Amino acid sequence: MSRFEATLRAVAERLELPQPDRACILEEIAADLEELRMELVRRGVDEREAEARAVDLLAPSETAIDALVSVHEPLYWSLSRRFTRSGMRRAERLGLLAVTAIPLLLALDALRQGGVLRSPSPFLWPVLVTTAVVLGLVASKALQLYLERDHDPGRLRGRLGPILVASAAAVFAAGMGAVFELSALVTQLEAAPDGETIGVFVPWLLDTAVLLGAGLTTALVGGLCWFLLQQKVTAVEAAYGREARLMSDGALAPPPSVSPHL
Amino acid sequence: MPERSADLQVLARSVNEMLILGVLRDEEKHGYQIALDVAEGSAGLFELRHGTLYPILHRLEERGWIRGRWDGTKGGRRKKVYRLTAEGRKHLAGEVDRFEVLARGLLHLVRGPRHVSL
Repeated sequence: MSRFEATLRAVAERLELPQPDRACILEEIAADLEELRMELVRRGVDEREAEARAVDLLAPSETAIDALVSVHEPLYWSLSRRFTRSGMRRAERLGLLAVTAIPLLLALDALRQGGVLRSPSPFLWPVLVTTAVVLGLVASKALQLYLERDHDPGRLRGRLGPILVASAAAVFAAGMGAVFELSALVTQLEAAPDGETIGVFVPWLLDTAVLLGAGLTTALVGGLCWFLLQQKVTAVEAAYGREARLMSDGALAPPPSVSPHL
Repeated sequence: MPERSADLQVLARSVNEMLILGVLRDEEKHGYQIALDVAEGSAGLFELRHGTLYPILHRLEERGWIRGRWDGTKGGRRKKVYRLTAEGRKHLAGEVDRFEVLARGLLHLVRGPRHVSL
C-alpha cells in the first residue's frame, strides 16, 4: 500500500489531464514524496514527521494542481471552453470531411488527367468508397487520440478494428475486380480479330493496374495508420497501468472524463 | 490596486523561477532536491510549499529553460531529474542582472545612496 495513497488520490481527482501527461505528473510527485521522506528519515527525522513534512512541501494544493493543468491542458480542451459544443462538433465534421474528401478528389483528378477514368472498371468505385471509409475512420480516430485527447478507457480501442477491416475490404474488392476483368479479357481476346488483341489488352492492363494500385495503396495506408494509432493506444493504456500501480489496489478514481465536451 | 497585485504576482513568479534555475545551476536534481535546496539554501527565507514547485518546473520545461528526463530502472520506480539548459542559463543571468538593478534601486531609495552595497 502506498504511503501517500490518500494524497495521490486527492491530486489525481483534480488533475484533469489526458494520458500520459496525467500518469507522468502523478509518478513524479509520488517518487519525490517518497524520496523526500527517506531523505528526512536519513537525517534523523521521525517517520511520521518526515511523511508530514514531505506532504506539506510537495503535495500540490488545489491552486498548484490547477496551475499544472493550465500548463499541460491540450489546446482543444481550452478551445472547447471558448466555443459551444455544437460549434466544435460542426468544425470537427467539416475538418473530417475535408481530410477524407480532399485526398480522394486529388486522386480522382490525377486518374482523370491520366485518361484512366474514361472507361474505368466497375470495381474501381467500391474500392474508392472503401478508401473514403478508411480515410474517414483514420481521421476520426486521429482526431480523438491526438486532438481531442479523449483517452477514456472505454472508447480507447473503438474504431481501430474497422480500419483494418475496411483496408482489407479495399484489397478484396480490387482483387475481385481484377479476377472479373481477367475473365472479361479472355472473352474479349477470343472474340477480337487477329492483330487487334493489343488494342484490347492495353486498356485492360491499365484499368487493372489502377484498380489493384488503388486497393493496395488503401490497404497499405490503412495498415500503417492502424499501426501508428495502435501504438498511441498502447502508450495511453500503459500510462493508465502506471497510474494504477501508484495506488495499492489499482482502483483509482475514474479518470477525469476526458475533454470537457465528451 | 488590481494592477499592483498583478505586478506582485509577476514578481513572485519571477523570483520562484529564478530560485529554481539558480539551484539547478551546477548539477541536475530531482524535484524534492530542488525544493529542499531552495529552503535550505535561503535558510528558510524562501520555501516552495504545497507543491507550488511542480507548475513552475513544468512551465520552465515548456519554455525550454530546463530539461527533465526520467531516471530509474525499467519496472522500478521512475524519478524525474531536471537540468538547466543553455537557454535557461542565459535567462537566469538576465534575471539576476534585472533583480540586481531592482534591488539597488530599491535600497538606494530606502536607505539613501551612501548605504547601497550590492
